[in-house]
Parts: sequence; C-alpha cells; structure tokens
Amino acid sequence: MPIQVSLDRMLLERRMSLTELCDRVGITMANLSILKTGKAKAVRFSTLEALCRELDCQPGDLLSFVDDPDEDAERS
Amino acid sequence: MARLKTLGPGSLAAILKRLLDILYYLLWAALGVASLVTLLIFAVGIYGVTGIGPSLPPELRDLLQMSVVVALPFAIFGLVALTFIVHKLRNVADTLVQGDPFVPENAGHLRSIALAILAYQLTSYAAHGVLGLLLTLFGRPVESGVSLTPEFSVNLGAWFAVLALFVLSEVFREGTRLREEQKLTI
Repeated sequence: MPIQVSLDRMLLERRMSLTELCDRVGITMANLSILKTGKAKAVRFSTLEALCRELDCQPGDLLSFVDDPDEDAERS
Repeated sequence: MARLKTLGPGSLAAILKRLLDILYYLLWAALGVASLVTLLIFAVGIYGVTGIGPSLPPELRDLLQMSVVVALPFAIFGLVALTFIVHKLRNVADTLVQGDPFVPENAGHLRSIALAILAYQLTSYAAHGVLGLLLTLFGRPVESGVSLTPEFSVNLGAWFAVLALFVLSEVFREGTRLREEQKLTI
C-alpha cells in the first residue's frame, strides 16, 4: 500500500504506548494494530479526528504517500 | 414459542444442511445402483455377442433390455450433475451453519452450480440431437418395445436459473469484497 501510517514514530515521539492510545481514542487494540502495520484499507474521518486530537497532530503527520513501483506494475 | 434461528448450530440452516446431507448420500446410492445396472447391461451385451461371461436369469436379462437401457447413460450423467450440485449446496449450507455465509468460496460454489446446470442442459440437447440422428438413420427400434421420438424442448426455467446463479455469484463476490474492505476500515 503506497499510503504509509507513521503511528509508531508519533507514539515514540510522545512516549505513549499503543494500549494508552487505544484507551484514549476508543479503538480496539486489534484495529489499531491493523492501522499500524499498514493492513488497513480505509480510515474513517472520525478515527482520524480522534487520533489527531489525542496525538496533537495533523492528518499529514500520520499519513504519507510513498510510490511503490512494484505495486504499480502489479496493478497494471 | 421460541423463534428458530436463521444461522448457526441448531438453526434453520442446520436443518437444511442435514436434509442436503441425506439427499447427497441417497444420490450416491442411486448413482451406485445405476452404474451397477449399466455394468450388467454391458455384461449381457458381451454375453449376447460372444457367449462368454456371466449368465443372468432370463427375467433379469429381459428387464435389462427394456426401455431403461436407452435412458440409462443420460440418467447417470444427470445423477452426476445433481450430486455435484447438492455437494456444492452442502458447502454453502455449511458456511450458513458456521454463521458466516459471506466468504469468497461461496461465489465460486454458486458459479459451479450454474455451470453444472448449463452443462446438463447442453448435454441434454446433444443427447436429443444424437437420438434424433440415430432414429433418422436407422429407423425406430420397435422390437425393443420403446416408442422413441426425437423431441426438442427448451427448459426456460433451467436457463433462467443459470442466469440468476451467475448474477448471484457476482453479487456474492462483490459483497464479500465490500465486507472485507469494511472489516479493514478503521
């Protein structure tokens, strides 16, 4: 997936554990792990809003686009 | 009165699965009997031509030369197709009993059922065509006591079932994809 989620870096910078973020955002550990490992297909605005609020950041700080030539070739 | 559940163990789906199981084993039994009769007919044919082979009681030999002989190969093919369809339906019912029918495999099962009905219909037309050709070439075999007439009829119900199953399988495929996407939406 060319969209990368930098949740790990954000948590490290804020010295926050994944469990703590789960409690504060109200998302299960399983779902947050899916997001963290880049397996998620989509993110709801409400989830993004909660993450940005709790991590005190912008959506762009969490998500970034990295072009993957291999995946482009697979798609075409 | 307690309402019967639709999915899961002890539900309507479980009863349906049990009925399909019974039908499946009955079909296998019928297929076994039909194959045995075909073998006997073959043996009688060989015995009639060469004089070598098992000698059957005259009553059984007469029975084997009756009208059932002509229809038997087609009946066996029909039984095979029906057994295959029931087998696929059992697989679908199994996912219902497990409580999750929206799995990618079910789209494939529905498509296989559609293909089986399609194959059965096409074979039926081919069989009628061959029969018609044989009757035209060799005349009616009156001595066997069978009134054979070449007929051609289109089973619209079966063709609609094929179309409906193809459409349903695509709906299932798309539904499964959407559910998978929903599952991975955080």
